[in-house]
Order: sequence, then structure tokens, then C-alpha cells
Amino acid sequence: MSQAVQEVGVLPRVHYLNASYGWKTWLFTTDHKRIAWLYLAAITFFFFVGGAAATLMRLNLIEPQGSLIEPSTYNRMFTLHGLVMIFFFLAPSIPAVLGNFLIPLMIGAKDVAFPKLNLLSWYIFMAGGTVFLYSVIAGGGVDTGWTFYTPLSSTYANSNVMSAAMGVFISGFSSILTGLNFIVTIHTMRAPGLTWFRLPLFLWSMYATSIIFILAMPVIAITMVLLMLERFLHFGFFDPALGGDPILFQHLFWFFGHPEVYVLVLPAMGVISELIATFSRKRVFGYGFVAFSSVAIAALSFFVWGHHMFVSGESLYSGLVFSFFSFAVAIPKDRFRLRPPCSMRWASSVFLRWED
Amino acid sequence: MPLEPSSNFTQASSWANDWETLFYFEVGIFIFFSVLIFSLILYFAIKYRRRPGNEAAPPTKDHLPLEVTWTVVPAAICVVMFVWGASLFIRNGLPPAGATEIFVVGKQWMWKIQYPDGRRDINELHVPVGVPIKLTMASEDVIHDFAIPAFRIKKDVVPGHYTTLWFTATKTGTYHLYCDQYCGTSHSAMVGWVIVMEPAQYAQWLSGGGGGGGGGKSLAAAGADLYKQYACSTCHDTGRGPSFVGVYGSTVKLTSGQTVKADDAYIRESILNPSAKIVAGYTPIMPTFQGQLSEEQILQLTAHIKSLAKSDADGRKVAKP
Ligand code: HEC
Ligand SMILES: [Cu+2]
Repeated sequence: MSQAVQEVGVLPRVHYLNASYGWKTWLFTTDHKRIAWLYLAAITFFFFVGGAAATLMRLNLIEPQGSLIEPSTYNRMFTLHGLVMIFFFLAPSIPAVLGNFLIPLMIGAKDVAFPKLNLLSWYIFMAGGTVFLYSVIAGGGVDTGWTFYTPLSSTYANSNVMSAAMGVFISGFSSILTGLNFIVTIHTMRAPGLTWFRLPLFLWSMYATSIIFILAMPVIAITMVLLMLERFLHFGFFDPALGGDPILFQHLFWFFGHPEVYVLVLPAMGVISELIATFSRKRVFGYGFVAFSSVAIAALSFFVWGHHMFVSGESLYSGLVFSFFSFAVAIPKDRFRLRPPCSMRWASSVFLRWED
Repeated sequence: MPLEPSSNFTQASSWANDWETLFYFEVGIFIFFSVLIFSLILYFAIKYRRRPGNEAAPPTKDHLPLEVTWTVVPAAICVVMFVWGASLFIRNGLPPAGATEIFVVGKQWMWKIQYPDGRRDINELHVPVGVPIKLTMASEDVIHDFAIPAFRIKKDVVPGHYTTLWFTATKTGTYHLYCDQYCGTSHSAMVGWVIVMEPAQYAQWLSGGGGGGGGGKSLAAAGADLYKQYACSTCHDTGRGPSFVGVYGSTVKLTSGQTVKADDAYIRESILNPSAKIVAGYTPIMPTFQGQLSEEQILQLTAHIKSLAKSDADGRKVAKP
């Protein structure tokens, strides 16, 4: 490691990894690069937790009767897998790790706009994860499926829905604060001359993702609060026996849930765009269109949630409208899908090297 | 389960072929573009690889015609998919007027099926071949989903709502029925059979006896009993509440000035939540029957009210004021 560092001549002798040592300098750091590492450690841990749950599920399916684990355990495993992978691995993965690490570097800033808030985000994330894991370790797990559909989750499930919902609620704030931090950073801390249309495409995708974070995460947080109120205090929001409507839950959940899909995919598209740009040594083909597409996808993603409810008995008209919008958002998405080959075609110098 | 079940791939309803054609059309498009994109990536990556004399890339210019093409072509394909899908979706959502009605109540973890003339089934749906069938579905607890893969249809069964599903079976046989919405511990055991019979055989099966809570009575007759038992008659046959003659299917005027079509969902709501919509000209004195009547009993009461739709005692069609 140290040798490799020395070989890269441009690295200063003192840098963020060796500037200080000891666990305190890591846990109380406000350095965006170190915080990125903290996130990387955390999501790697959660990735293995979610992966272990999936492994148990798959092992149980080795034979048709599934005699390895009880049905109730199996249900807890796929719920655990879904919730951990969505909320504690995928959502923070690229934004919180690569985003934290690269955004300041790519815009020529010393750090993100609010470094302390950035550290706080990580602590909130860990707090949410801990409360969530409590539901699994001490509370016997949760068996509602990752979508928490009511009234199964609010009335009928016997498992530990409360702390799982609380974990999701808390960790949502981490994403909100990270999104806020990124947006302010990209707006206010770009180096002189780094105009919007000179930003690396990865930053456009981070910007779009951040918009989704601050608009969608509050909705899931509120939904979790309503769910907890109904489960704990029997307020009637979603259970028809209490005067509520289970479809309302689905509307709220997917209003968050669909944009969440783009939280997962936009950063990945940003990474791919960046890799192509770097290794073909030029801007991605049609840069402006791609930049706008990122933001267009983020905006349109808030108008398509009803396509998760086509068979829920939603009205014919709402089904048609949501189908229409869903196709509309496919068009900016196609811009990404068709881009890489063309970038390469016009790049005419791609990273592949071999002797000839 | 009487017969060896057919595979889920069998096309056994009027929907099967329509949905499947659309499905394979879309899959075809996806495969075409995926193969195209990935082969181009591979081809260009090799062709334009970096080598001596090709180190620095020339600057890129935007290429407007290309941008327009790959906006317009996908948009056109999307329009085709949307219109095609939407037309099927609309047909799927509008059951034909003359369809035979069967009632489904989902419950952790079983399906209860009620036929209009009183037969009941658990986890088995019997239908005649070639006849449009409309399922009206309710749930006693959580959200379930009534799915028949061989028919290529499914619909959620949602507590607090009625949902409907309609189809015409095209092939006699026995088919799988699944709950398709995760609904708790024994969700995977919430399965059953759909048995498609020749109409004559079906008629014979229907008359083969009732059993179950309806005591062999038709739904409407069972509803008439409940109507007496729960003393609906003390208001609805005395003028304190509206008469039900001619109500079902009519347009009801409300005190709010709005009107509402008296369908299953309206009747259900009037029984469980009477103050939600108040019939014009009446005081809202009706008590709620929430928690006292099961979904099945509500279906029976509805069938009773429906049986009064056509005519009063003298055979006149009576319109609501
Ligand atoms: C205490 C008197 C009373 C009893 C008992 C009663 N109802 Fe009613 N019901 C009314 C009144 C008054 C209305 C009209 C005002 C309103 O809509 O609430 C009404 C309205 C209705 C409607 C809407 C009818 C329309 O014309 O649109 C239905 C359906 C209904 N009742 C069903 C029932 C059933 C089924 C029962 C028995 C389980 C029942 N009611 C028991 C008083 C009663
Ligand atoms: Cu179910």
C-alpha cells in the first residue's frame, strides 16, 4: 500500500489517510474522504447481513419442501434481505461513498458545504441501522415484506414491525441531509470557471439523486410514522377496520418507492458515463442531453408511482395516466442506454489496449 | 382436486393469447436493443482501441440529427406499446354486462367462493367454459391477490374495497390458483384450483347441493334471512329508510346534491359506513354494521337487494324519486 502511494508521484507526503491515526480521528473526522470510507465500511457490513439472509432463503429452496427454516423464518429472511439491501446498502452505496469522496474533488472544493452535517448523516445512518438490526436480533425480526403493506404490517403481523419501521424512519434523515449537502456543495462551491455544463456527468447524476433524496425521503419517513401510529395507537389511517384505506398506504409508499428506484440507478449511470468519458479521453457524446436527462428522470420519477398499483384495483383512468407517464420517463432513460456505443464511436480512442 | 392440473403455460382464457402477444412483442424489442447496444459497445471498443497514432481523441461535436432520431424512434415504440397495452387494460377493466357473477372472499389463508345460487367452495373455483365470468372480490383481513396464471390474469383483493376480475375460460381442465400478494405466514399455502367444466356439467355440479353457511339457499335468499335477522326491515320496509325496490343499478340522489350509482361498492359502503353518503330525503339514522357483518354476509345482503332491483310486488319497475 505505502509503496503504491509513493509510486504515484503526485500524492503529497501527508494526505488524508496518514495525516492522523487512531479510531478517534476516524469517528470524529469531518473529512469527506474519510466519511466516504466510514460509509463504505458500514454498507459493506450491511451488504453481508442482507446477503446472509438471501443465502438462507436460497439454501431453503434447495429442496421443494424447504425444510431448512420455518415459513415464518423464511418470511423474515426475505423481508430482512429486502429492507437491508434497499435502505442500508443500495441507497447509500454510490451517493454516500463515491459521492462523498468525489464531489468535492471533482468541483475543486476542499470539502462538502457542511462537513459536520456530513458526519452527522453517517451517525444518523448508523443509528437507523442499529435500531433496525435491533428488530432482527432482539425483536425476532420482521415479516411484512420490504414494502410494509398495510393492514398486514399495521394490524396482522406479529413480528417486530415497530423497530424496523423506526430504523427506516431514522435512516431516511441521513439521506435527506446528504442530499442537502450535495446540492449546496454543487451549487456554491464549484471552482471558478467550472460552469454547470462543464461538470462531470457523475455530478449531474449526484445532483439529480440528491433532489430525489430531499423530496422522496420525507415521504417515506411520514409514511413510517403513520404506520407506527396505526400499529401502536390504533389510529385509523390504513386499516379499513379502523376506518382507513390500505390503498392510501400504497400511494404514499410508491410516491417514495418509485423515485427510490432512480436513487439506485442514476448514480450507476453517472459512474458509467464517467468511466467512458475518462477512458475515451473526452466528454461523453451529447453531454448536454445527458445532463438534462438526469434531471428530467429525477423530475418525472415523481409522476409514475401508480404503475406499482396496476392490479391493486386503482381506477382505469389512473392506471392509464400512470402508464403514460411511465412510458414518458422511458425516453430520457433511452438517452442513457444508447449513449455508450456512440460515445465510443465518436471517441475513436478507447481504453482497450493491446499490442498489434 | 379432481383432475391432473394443467401447466401454468397453458393458454386457457380469452386473455391468454392477447397478453402473451403483447408480452413477447415487448420482450422482442428489449432483446433487439440490448443485443444492438452491447454488440456496438464491444465492436467500437475494439475497433477504436487506443494504439500508437490514436492516443488523443478528437473533440466531440453534438450531433443533432442523431439526438432527434433516438428520441423519436423510442418515443414511437413507446406509443405503440402504450396504445396496445392500454387497449387491453381497458378491456380488462370493463366486465361485459351479461357476465355470470361469482363472489370471492380472501382470508388468511384461504379463498372462499360463493356462487349466486348458494353453492360454496373453499379454494376451488368452478366455472363453465365459454361463458364470461365476473368475479367480485373482497378481503376479510389483509391484501391478497387472486391469480390464475393459465388465464394470464390477476387482481388484488383489498380489504375495504371490492375489486373485480373477468374472463372467459376457453379450455376445460384444472388450473392453478395462487395468492399473488404476500399476506403473512402461510401465504405460500394460499393456493387452490380453478376447474373449468362444460356448461352442462357445470349446471349439474351447481345443482349438486349446497352445504356451508348458506344452507343451500341462494345468495339472495340467504340475504333475505339476514335482512330479517339484522332488522333491516324495521326501517327499510317502514318508510324510515328508503325502500330497496328498484335501487340496485339506479342513480341515487344524495343530500349533498351529488348522485351515485347504486352498485356493489355503494351498497357495501351504505351498510358499513352509512353516514358517508346519505340518501336525499332521509335522516341519517342508520347504524353502522361494521364488525357485525362479514364480507360474505354483506355479499348476501347485496344479492338480496339486487334481487329487488327489477320490480316490486306488482311487477312494476319502480324508479327512485
Ligand atoms: C334505524 C333504521 C335503519 C336500519 C336498522 C337499517 N337502515 Fe339502512 N338506511 C336507513 C336510512 C334512514 C337510510 C337512508 C339514509 C342514508 O343513506 O343513510 C338507509 C340507507 C341504506 C342504504 C342505501 C339505500 C339507497 O337507497 O341508496 C342501504 C343499502 C341500506 N340502508 C342497507 C341496510 C341494511 C342491509 C340494513 C340491515 C343490515 C339496514 N340498512 C338497516 C335506515 C336504516
Ligand atoms: Cu394472500
